Amino acid sequence: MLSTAKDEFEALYHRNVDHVFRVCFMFMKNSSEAEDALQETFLRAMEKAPPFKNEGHEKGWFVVTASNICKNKLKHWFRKKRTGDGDRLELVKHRDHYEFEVFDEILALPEKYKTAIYLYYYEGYTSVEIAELLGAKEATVRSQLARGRDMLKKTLGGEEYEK
Amino acid sequence: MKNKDVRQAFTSIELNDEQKEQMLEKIYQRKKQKKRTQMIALAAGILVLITSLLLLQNFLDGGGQDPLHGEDEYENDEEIVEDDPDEDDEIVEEPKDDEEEQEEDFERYIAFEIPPHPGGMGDELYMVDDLSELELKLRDSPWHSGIDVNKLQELGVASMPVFMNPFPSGMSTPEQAEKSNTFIVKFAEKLGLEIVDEDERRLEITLENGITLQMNLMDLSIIVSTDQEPETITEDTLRGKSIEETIEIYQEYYFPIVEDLISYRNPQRDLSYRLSDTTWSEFRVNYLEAFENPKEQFFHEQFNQIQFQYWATDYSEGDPMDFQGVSIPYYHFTPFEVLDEIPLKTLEEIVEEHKGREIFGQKLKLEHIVRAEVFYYTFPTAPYFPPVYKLYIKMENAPENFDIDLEDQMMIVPIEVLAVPEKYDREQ
Repeated sequence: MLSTAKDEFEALYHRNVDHVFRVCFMFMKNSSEAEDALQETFLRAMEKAPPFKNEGHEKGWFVVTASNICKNKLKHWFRKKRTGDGDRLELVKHRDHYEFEVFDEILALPEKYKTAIYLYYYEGYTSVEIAELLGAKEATVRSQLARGRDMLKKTLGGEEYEK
Repeated sequence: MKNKDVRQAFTSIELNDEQKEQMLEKIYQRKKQKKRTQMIALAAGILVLITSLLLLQNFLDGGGQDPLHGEDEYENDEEIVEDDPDEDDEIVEEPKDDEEEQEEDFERYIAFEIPPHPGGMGDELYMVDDLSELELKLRDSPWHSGIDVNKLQELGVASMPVFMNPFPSGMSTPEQAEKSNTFIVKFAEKLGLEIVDEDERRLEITLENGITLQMNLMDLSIIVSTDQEPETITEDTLRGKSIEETIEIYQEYYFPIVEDLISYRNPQRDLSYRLSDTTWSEFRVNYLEAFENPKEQFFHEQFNQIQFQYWATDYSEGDPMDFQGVSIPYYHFTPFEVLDEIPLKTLEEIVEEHKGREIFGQKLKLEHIVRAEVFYYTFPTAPYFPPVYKLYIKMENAPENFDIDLEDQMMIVPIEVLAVPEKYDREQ
């Protein structure tokens, strides 16, 4: 890799590594498999060199690509049979018990809701933007968010729940 | 719960700077490794081409020498091997984590490697009142897929084929990829949806509406799944429905899509089992074809079942059940190549061969085998798929550290052992 291309890739890596890792951990639930998925995501970026319109587009591409890579890994039924929840405690810097509880429930959400929940709550995308990123209908994204939130609400309590 | 709680929970997970640098280094290593694999594949391709040309030339010249054992091509082999790219010297081997895990899993499946702990996967140990209860438990077990040896004997079956693994390297050849790709694209066309994303070899494509079609080498199958509900299936449609009713609603939507692509003459359906732990429930619907010949039926069930998967976070608490995907076996459109038909070892031979081996401290004896089944061992990176016996061993005494009284109950430990010669084991 030429040094300019290498520098560019490393800048791209540092801009996106945090949210890619969060997404990967959210799906894979343990650090070793999350790291493996993270590496695959950046390898794909290196090979495809997608032309990003702006940083928002770039971030969206990384989140969606990382989600898809993780989902595909989880589809390996062989893996499902042998992998437990792993070492989630090892990496999570939980500041208090409640925060850890919330994170634990996010990990337990069905895979199909996780990407939308992450993009909406953490990255601050709107449901319209998420629909565009995922190639989905806005109504579907709204439904995924609603069902994901309901599940969290049910397990964590929902008196102060915000719509 | 507030929105900020969810937001805050995500911030609690991150890599430190050192870990980030390590990750970056591993990405570079994997890139090099991938390049190296491509170079080796290219060199192998050139080698095959040169060898073919030499064989052809030898044939045309009428050299009279055995073309497969002539000296010329060996000399050429060496030339190719020496022609490795310079950068290979810099290659650092990829971490072996996954491989090691697979090795460990493999070890569990070869003869007499007894898991150190009972329970867990659900097939390490059975506690039953009698053998009829064992049969019931096996019927409901997702890990159970064998055929009773007695049934085989009744059928006069004394031999079984050993199959070649179509993807022994864990990678598909261009021809295999083409076949898989044709099937996947045909599937996509059937769905009438545009392809919105695909990988380089189109072994994984994403369609509109979040549907992905993926060739899964690990399971030797094509996995069709979607992130999104069909428009016709809403929360209202599913509200208050039983497991069977919910599955029926999804099946009415998905099965016609699959049905048109498979060639079953007499499809049968079986909602076979439910997996469950504290946080989720999983249901599987198997579609298979009914055959009159039990041996044919056995092979079909081993390699050619189409399976729909559903799961719910907590179904008993009223959480909705979601469609996860359908798995269509690779075997369905490209049956495995048969290496040879091998006589099955008898149970007496097995016991003799493993004389002195112990299961939880108990010596293997014929009288302790209360049930024997044959199934196929299809570990994804093994070169062959051989038939394997699963022997259910009755324990005379509970192993040490087990606080169990065997006076009222039977403890049955299943073990697995090759039913054909050892040379069909893994890389031999």
